[in-house]
Amino acid sequence: MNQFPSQDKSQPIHIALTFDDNYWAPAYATMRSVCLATHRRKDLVFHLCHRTLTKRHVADLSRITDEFGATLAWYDLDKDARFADIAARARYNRRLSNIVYARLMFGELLPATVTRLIYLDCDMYVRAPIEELAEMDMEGSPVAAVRDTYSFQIIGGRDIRANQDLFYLTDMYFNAGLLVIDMDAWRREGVLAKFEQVMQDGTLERIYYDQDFLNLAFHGRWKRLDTLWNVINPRAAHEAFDPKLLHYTDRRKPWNLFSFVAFARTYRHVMTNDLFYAYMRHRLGRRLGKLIGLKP
Amino acid sequence: MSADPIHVVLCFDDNFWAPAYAVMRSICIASKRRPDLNFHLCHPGLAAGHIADLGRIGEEYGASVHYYDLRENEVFRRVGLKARYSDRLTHVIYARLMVDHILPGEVKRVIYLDCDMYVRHPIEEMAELDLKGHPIAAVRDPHSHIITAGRDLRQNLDLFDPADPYFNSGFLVIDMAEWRKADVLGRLESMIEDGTMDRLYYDQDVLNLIFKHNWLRLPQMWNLLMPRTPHEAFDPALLHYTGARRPWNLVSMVAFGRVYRHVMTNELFYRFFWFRMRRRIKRWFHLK
Repeated sequence: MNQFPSQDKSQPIHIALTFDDNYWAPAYATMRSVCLATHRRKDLVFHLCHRTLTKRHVADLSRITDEFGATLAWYDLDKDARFADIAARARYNRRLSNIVYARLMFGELLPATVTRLIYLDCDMYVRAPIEELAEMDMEGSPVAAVRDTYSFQIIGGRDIRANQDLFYLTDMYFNAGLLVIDMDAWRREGVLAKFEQVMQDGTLERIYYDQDFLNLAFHGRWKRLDTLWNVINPRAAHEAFDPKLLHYTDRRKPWNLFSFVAFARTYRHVMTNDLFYAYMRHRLGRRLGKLIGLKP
Repeated sequence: MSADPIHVVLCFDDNFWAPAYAVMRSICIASKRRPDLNFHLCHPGLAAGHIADLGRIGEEYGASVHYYDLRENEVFRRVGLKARYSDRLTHVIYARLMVDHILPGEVKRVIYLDCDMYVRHPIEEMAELDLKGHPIAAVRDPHSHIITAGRDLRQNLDLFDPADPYFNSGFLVIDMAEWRKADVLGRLESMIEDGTMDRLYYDQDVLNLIFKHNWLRLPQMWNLLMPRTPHEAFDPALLHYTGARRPWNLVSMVAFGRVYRHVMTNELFYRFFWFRMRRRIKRWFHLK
């Protein structure tokens, strides 16, 4: 294998991912895409907030360090009493699973030395140098993100009439899949304590998980990023715009054999062919397991 | 209005005369400086009938058309024919690397275009563009990772870093003085000799190696790859019909497919269609 060239170490770039064992392969692909698109591979520190992982998957993920010289920091949420407490009480979603609440705990989980954090969902493919976000001017905002063009539907639900007491539809609403976070401000904010409040007063039952919560918490105080930094539902027609970050939000996922999404073929090579097919077998195995489990 | 000539270069073989005509005509239609347009056509021999077709650009718009027979060009015969090629991309793609050895010396600025293009904005914007000291201007190729790094994005890492900007060589604005300084031909020759060429993606990789970190990035709209219907609303300046769908196919499902037929003119569109049919049938018989 050829070696990836890399610049000498300078300032660390902190990136956080949250995922469970069934999502290890997309998490690997997201990390690898970040590494491919930057020269500052050795500065990258990936903070992996994960449910307990199998040894084999840990080995897969560790290849990021072997190949690029990036640092991996592991946080096993199943060994964290605070997460267990919240996961047990918060509203559950089958597709998103309770892992979505992990991002609310960055203030508690990550070391105090992390002052700027880039959070990424694991259904993403990063195509531009991540330092653009690590070094951007936040202009005093605690978070930066991309506007979510589905906000009316997400907030208002059926007939766009729900939760009008919580949100103004005309206000800017962000997609929480990519967040640039000023960690000092985040810690001062007491994000987790605020979430505790929302959980206790019943608001959490009415809202769209952590994304709605973060939008309530940082209402009117977030910096808007260029849409190319979080292109949702990416399709072939988007390729020509040279997007900086693709977010495979809908049912079409680039790890499916036929996905019809933007850069589907390249994504397979980002994930590496070995892992792409291993992940396919993993999903098939799970599906079969569920099927058999259903039988009396 | 400036009276400086605008130099446009196309490189194509006889089978591609009709798309070449369409690119030229699209430039003429969108330009306010039609009489200033100079089309330099580099080709390895053209049928007399096709030369007559191409010449109509001069009659219709007052533009000048110049022909350069590559078979008579000593440099192309010596180097161009040695380079790697495929069924889809013939040797003629390397002619763009020798543009300084083909065109007259007094040409200062050249706009090179592939022939699977449709120009929709005034080309003079590119002729008058400030290159800020760079030898070329081009558009980033969004597919650079798969093109340069191939399987698992782990190939040719000694030549290309996937994190480096990489351009599509289908559309180039060239400052001839700076280009000459880069000795493109000399670099190409040494890449052929030392075997590097066998590992490269044709002329595009060659140019990206030579001009690494030394090119001006143009907006994506000046070389929109794989144009589809949703792109039409963005008023792209230049469409580049890469991929399998071609606007000269009867049913193409590309952006501006219908307009393209009218740019090529209907008469030529259908003549080109029958021309391809005849070629296909001829090949078919040879196989038997």
